[in-house]
Amino acid sequence: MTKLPHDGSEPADGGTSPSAGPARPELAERWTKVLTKTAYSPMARHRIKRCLAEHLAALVEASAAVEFSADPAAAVGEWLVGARFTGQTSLRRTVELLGPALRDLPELAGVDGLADRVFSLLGELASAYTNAVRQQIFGEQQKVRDSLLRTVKQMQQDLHDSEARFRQVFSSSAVGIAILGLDGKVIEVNPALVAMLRHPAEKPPEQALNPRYVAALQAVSALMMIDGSESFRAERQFTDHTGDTMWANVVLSVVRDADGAPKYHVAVIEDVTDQRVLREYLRHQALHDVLTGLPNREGFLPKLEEVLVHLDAPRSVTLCYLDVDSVTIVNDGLGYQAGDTLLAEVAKRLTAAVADEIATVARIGGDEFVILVEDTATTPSISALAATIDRELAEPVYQGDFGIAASASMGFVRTSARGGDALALLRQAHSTLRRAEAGGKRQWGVYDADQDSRDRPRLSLIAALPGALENGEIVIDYPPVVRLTDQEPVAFAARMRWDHRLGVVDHDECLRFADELGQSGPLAQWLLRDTCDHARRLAAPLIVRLSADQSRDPDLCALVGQALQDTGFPADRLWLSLAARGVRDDPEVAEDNLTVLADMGVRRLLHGFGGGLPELSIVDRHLPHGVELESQPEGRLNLAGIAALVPLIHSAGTIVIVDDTATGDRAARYREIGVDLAVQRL
Amino acid sequence: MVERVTWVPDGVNVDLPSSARIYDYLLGGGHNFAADRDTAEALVKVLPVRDMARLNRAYLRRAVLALVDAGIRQFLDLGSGIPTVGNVHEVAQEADPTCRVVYVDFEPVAITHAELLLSDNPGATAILADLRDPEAVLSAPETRRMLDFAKPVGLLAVGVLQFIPDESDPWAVLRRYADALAPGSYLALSHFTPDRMPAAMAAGAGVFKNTAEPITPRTAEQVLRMMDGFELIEPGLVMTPEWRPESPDEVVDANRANLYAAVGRKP
Repeated sequence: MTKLPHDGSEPADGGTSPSAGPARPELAERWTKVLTKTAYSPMARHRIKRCLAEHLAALVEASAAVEFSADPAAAVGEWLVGARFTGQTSLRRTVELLGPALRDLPELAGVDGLADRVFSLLGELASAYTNAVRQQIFGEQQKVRDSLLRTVKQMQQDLHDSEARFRQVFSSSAVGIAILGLDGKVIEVNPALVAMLRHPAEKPPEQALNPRYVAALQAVSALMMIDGSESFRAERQFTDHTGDTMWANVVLSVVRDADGAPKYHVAVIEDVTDQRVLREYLRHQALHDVLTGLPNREGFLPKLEEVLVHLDAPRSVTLCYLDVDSVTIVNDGLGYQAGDTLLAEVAKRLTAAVADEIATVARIGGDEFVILVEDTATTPSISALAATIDRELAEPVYQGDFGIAASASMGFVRTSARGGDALALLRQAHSTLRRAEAGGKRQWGVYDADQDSRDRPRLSLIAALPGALENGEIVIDYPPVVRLTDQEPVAFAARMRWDHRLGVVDHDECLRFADELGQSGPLAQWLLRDTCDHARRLAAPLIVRLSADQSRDPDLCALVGQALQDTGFPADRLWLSLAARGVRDDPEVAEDNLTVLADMGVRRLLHGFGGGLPELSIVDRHLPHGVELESQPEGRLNLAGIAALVPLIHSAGTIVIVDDTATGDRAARYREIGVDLAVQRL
Repeated sequence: MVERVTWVPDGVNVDLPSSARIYDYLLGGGHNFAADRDTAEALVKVLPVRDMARLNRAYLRRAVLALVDAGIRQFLDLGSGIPTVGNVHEVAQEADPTCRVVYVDFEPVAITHAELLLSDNPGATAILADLRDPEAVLSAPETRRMLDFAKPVGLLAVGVLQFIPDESDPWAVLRRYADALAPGSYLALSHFTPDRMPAAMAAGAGVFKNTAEPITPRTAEQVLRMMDGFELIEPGLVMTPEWRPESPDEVVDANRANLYAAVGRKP
């Protein structure tokens, strides 16, 4: 921007220079007014006026000079340009004003050739003005061009820097980068990619990518152009130049130019072979058992499903569910190391046992295995298979000095049903195993559909017990207990009853179900509480029969004590009947219970009494109040036997109770052999 | 001597008219190219743009001087354009050399030009930023270096807000600037309006529509709303030549000025 001319500054004496002559304020004012309408000047108005007044003075002086020279007018023209009075009409208005003004100025009236002098001055003014304007414009044009060029240079520098940055990233990146033109041709490939693909150094790097891959990338690029997606990501297998395969994560993206049109594609290729290997390893881990290397449950089920889906009659499959006996004992006796060794050896032996078959062996539980055989013409019968497995396992496994022998229980199921449910098949094999196990160690069984259909409801019933208990579906009946001599009721018995749509579940069955489910504790608590509460009102003794598990439950006496306390039922009126079997199986705890109960004042009975010698010992030791016979005596020997035992029992001060309605002949028979009380059936 | 430029980025495309260069041409300057002059002449045909430019520039000067009188020593000039006739820093520093000025524009050539001009002036600087992003403007290192926002600042938005369309919400933009200013700061603005010469202004808007910077002339009510948060000082919202004129005969052109002017103080 041009600086303001020097004569724009404030003179010290307030406005007139020595050669100015009288001030011509009115003229200066008019000139100011006219000029400021033609253009914007950054000067303050009063200053403009002052400068113009000085210029007027100079012009007047020049007009009146003895030796005329138009030169002073040049300064005026230059000043006008410098003060930015360069509007379209600035010069014209100036000339239009100055001409007549100078011509008619009184003090110039006598000047010779004034008109010519004025023309001359105005001409010089205009000429200087024009030149100054031209210079100003040239100067400003130069400035704006300089600014333009500088800006462009800066932008190019930025672009260059950005290019350089890209170059740096491209060449030193650890991941492979390939730049492809829109036609799919490889434009450039970075060193990392060349190294990744083990491309020979002598060959041009652009050839590092196999034409097949380039074609694949081209196809993807073309697709991206059509559907407008910005990037594409996939994992692909590559074969490098030495023939090794590697897995790479490929991300393909579009690079656009300033107008947004696609310019080229960039493929970033990262070697993920290691990750993949790790992933595969983890997947394998998830589906296989660490100890044996066999598939685990998650790994086996899909296989089973697949085989079943493709099954086609008359082909069949055999599924064997196998439980290794005695692993717990080995673990407890010889340590877990031994137990593990055993299981690992079992896995090997099982695999060997079915080596000739199309078989899959899996470890499906702690000590449970399954073997799936896709039956062929040469597949042996189930019993032959069972025998082979048995034989394989019979060989002892040596752990240090100990030889451990494994034996297994097995449940087999063979089916040719296509599209069968894998889980259902597994369940069938499993329940077959359980049934076989019930018969002892080293047993095997074949799935029996009828048995299964009989078992299943029972099993579903058992499972429903806790719910029934909570919902109050189990009721308690109180049949009277009569003295056989005079049929007088002397006590009551508590008998649970669960009316289920599959049938009625009686007291003993409820107890058995509870034991199977491990629910004997909660059941006992409820049973004791409810019966004691009810019995308080009955004002008579009450027989409450417990299950085997309940009889040998260490918490039993606490439960009894709590129930007696809560209900206020007198202890000696509670005739608690423990299971003889329970006492036999776990004498320590059960006999402890008997002792403590005696101390509490509770009357103790033993039910399921079969007359065996151990039971007699218990009677001898604990002197219970009574025994309940195991079953209704039937048959000559049975009755004779009971008859013989009764005096012995009576000698211990123990009465004999039978669980049967005793009327008429029956009552007579019972009386004959010495039975004291009978629980009337309802 | 002139290099051939083979690639010209958008911001420096001389074939596109720039409002800053058009303004300079209308003020009689030479910092412009053919495209600017052509557009300017097209405008001249429908609007008295030379007078509008002159009166607007004169108003800017009077406003800056008034703010210096009121004690303001710091200025933030939004949309400053090309350093043309009568720059803010020249006006202010002539009145008080301690005044500091930050020019803001998003036209690269204008800012480069300003940088060249201000290279040896420690009290003024120019930044390349979009005024619609107050956070960017206020947090730019040069802004922070030059201005102390704990003290009052004179915010100038003279002849620039009509280039901001309604969608960019100029009212909200100004509010965000206002929030950053200390009490005692001022806002001085001027804005195109269709209120006095509606047909002509519409025609002018038509010319601008074909450039990269279309205009949105606004009514008195719309312009007044931009002063929300500021107390207008005398004479309130008027046409540019009516704002504290230096002499009465400057006011005759009021209707042809076509720009509202207002200055307000943040309480």
